[in-house]
Amino acid sequence: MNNQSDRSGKMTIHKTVIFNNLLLWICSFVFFLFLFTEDGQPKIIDFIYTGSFIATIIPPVLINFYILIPQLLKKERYLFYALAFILNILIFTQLNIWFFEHFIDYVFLDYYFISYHSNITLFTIFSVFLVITTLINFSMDWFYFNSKENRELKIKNQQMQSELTSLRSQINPHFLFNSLNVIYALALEKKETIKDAIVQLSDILRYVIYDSSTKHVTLKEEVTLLKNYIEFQQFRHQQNDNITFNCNIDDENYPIYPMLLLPLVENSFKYGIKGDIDHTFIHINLILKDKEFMFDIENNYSESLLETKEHSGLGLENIKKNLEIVYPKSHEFNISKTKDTFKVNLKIIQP
Amino acid sequence: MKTIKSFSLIVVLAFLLSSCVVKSLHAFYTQDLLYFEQKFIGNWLDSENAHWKILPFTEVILKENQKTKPSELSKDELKLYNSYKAGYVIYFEKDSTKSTFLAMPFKINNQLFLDFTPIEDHEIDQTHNELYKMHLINTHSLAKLDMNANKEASIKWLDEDKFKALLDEDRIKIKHEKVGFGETILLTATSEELVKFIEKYMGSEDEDKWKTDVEVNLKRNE
Repeated sequence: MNNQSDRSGKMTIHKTVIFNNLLLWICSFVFFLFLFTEDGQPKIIDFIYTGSFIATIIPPVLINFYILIPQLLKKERYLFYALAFILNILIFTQLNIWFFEHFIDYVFLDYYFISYHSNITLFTIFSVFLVITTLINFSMDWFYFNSKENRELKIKNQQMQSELTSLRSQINPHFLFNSLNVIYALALEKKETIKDAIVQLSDILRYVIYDSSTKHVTLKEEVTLLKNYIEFQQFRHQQNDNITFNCNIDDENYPIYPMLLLPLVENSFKYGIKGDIDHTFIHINLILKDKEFMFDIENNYSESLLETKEHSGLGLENIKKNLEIVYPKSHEFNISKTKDTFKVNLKIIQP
Repeated sequence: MKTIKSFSLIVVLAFLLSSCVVKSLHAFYTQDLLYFEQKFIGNWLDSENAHWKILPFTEVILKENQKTKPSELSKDELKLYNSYKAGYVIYFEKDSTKSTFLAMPFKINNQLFLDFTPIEDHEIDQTHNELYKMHLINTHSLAKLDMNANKEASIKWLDEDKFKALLDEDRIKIKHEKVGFGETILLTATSEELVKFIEKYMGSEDEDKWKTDVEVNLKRNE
C-alpha cells in the first residue's frame, strides 16, 4: 500500500513538474516571439529564431532549477551558487552565439539570421531571464511550502481535536459512573434528598453534555459547575465534612477550557473523603487576578486505602494531557504529597 | 582636386544604379577584410565602350592636395588617407556622362568584393545646385569582383530583386528600411552584420545568387 502511495505521489510530482515546465516554456516562447519581432507581426523566420533561441536557453534554466538551486542555494552555499549562476549564464550565452553564428546554418539552410542581438544584449537577456525564472521557482516553492504547511497544520489541528474529544469521552462516563454511585448510595439510605440530588445531577450533566462542547466557557460557569458538584457530593457525605471552596475572582468572564477542573475535584472526593471518614477535608482555592489563574485543591490522603494506581491516576493523566493541548507552555501543573495530604496546584497564565 | 575634399561632406545618391542594386547605409566590409588588388588599377573599357579609369585612392588624394608624401597632408586629409588607403577611385565615363566612385576592395573566403560609394567631383558634376545636393545621402553597394588574369574583370552588383525575394519570402532577418515612393530597400544593418550576410549568402546553394541586371565586363584598355 505504502509503495503504491509513494509511486502515486511521485507520478503526481512528475506530472506537476512537466506541466510547470511546459507552461513556463510556452509562455517564454510567446514572450520572446514578440520581443524578437520588430513590427509585432511574427513571420516564419521569427518563429524559427525564437524556437532556436528557446532551445539554447532551456539548458541553463534547467541546470539552475535542478542542480544549482538544490545543490548550492538550498544548502546555503550562497557564494558558490552566485559564481555557478554567473558561469552558467556566461557559458550558455557563448554557446548561443556559436549556435547562431555557425550551427544554425546547417539546420536551416535557406534562412538568414543576421540582425539580432549583440553579445552584451544576449548576456543581458540570459541574465534577466535566469533571474526571473529563479524568482518564479522561489515563488512556486514558497507556494507549495505554504500549502504543505497549511495542510500539516490542519492535520495537526484535527489530531488535537480528536485527542481532546477522546479525553472528554473518558471524563464523561467516569463522572457519570461516580455520580450514579452517589445516587445509588442515597437510594440505599432511602433519603428524601435523592430528588434534589437527581435535579442537581441533571444540571451538572446538562453542563457537561451541552456547554462543555464549546471551545471555552466563562470561569463563572465553571465555578457554578464545581459548586453544583460539591453540593451534589455532599448528599452522600456527612454535612460536617470539612469542605471549603474559596473563590477570589476579578473577572467572571475569564475564558477557560470546559471541564478542566471538575476531574480534580472528583479525584479529591473519590480518594480524599472516602479515604478517611473521621478527618476528611477538601480545601479548594480558586484565584483569578490580573489574568493569572490559580487553582489549588488539597485533600486528606491515605496510601493504605488508595485504589490501584491504574484507577487513581486516570483523572490526573487526562488533565495533564488536556493542559498540554489547550494551554501549551502557558501553564504549570504540580502535584505534591505528604504522608496525610494530597495537593494539586494549577496555574494558567494567558497572554 | 575637389573630389576627395568634398567626399566626407557631401553625399550623393548613385544615379546610375539607383533602382537595381542593394543599397546600404553602412559599408559592406570591416577593416580587417580589406584587400588591395594591384591588378585592378588601370584603364578599362566595358562592353558598351564606357571608360573606367581606376586609380589608387592614395595616389588621388596626394595628387589632389599637391603633396608627394602622406606626411605632408593635413590632419584631416591624413585621417581620410588612412581610412581609405586600400581603396580605389573609379572614374566612370559613358557617352557624355561622368561619375566618380570610391571602391573599397575586400576579401571574404578568398572572393574579392567591392564596396561602391559615389563621390562628388566638382569638375564633372555641375548640373545640380547646392540646395539639391544637401538633400542627398550617399549609400554603399556591394559588387563581386572577378579578375581574369590581368586583362579582364567582371563586376556584378548584388541585385535588389534577389534580395527583395529573400525579404518577401521571410527568409532573412536583417535591419532595413523601405524608403521613398518606390519603397527602395535601404539596409541599415551594421557592417559586421552585412559581412555575416555576405558569408552566409556565399554559401547559399542558389546557383543564380549573383545573377544581376547590373553587371559590367571590363577589358583592359592601355
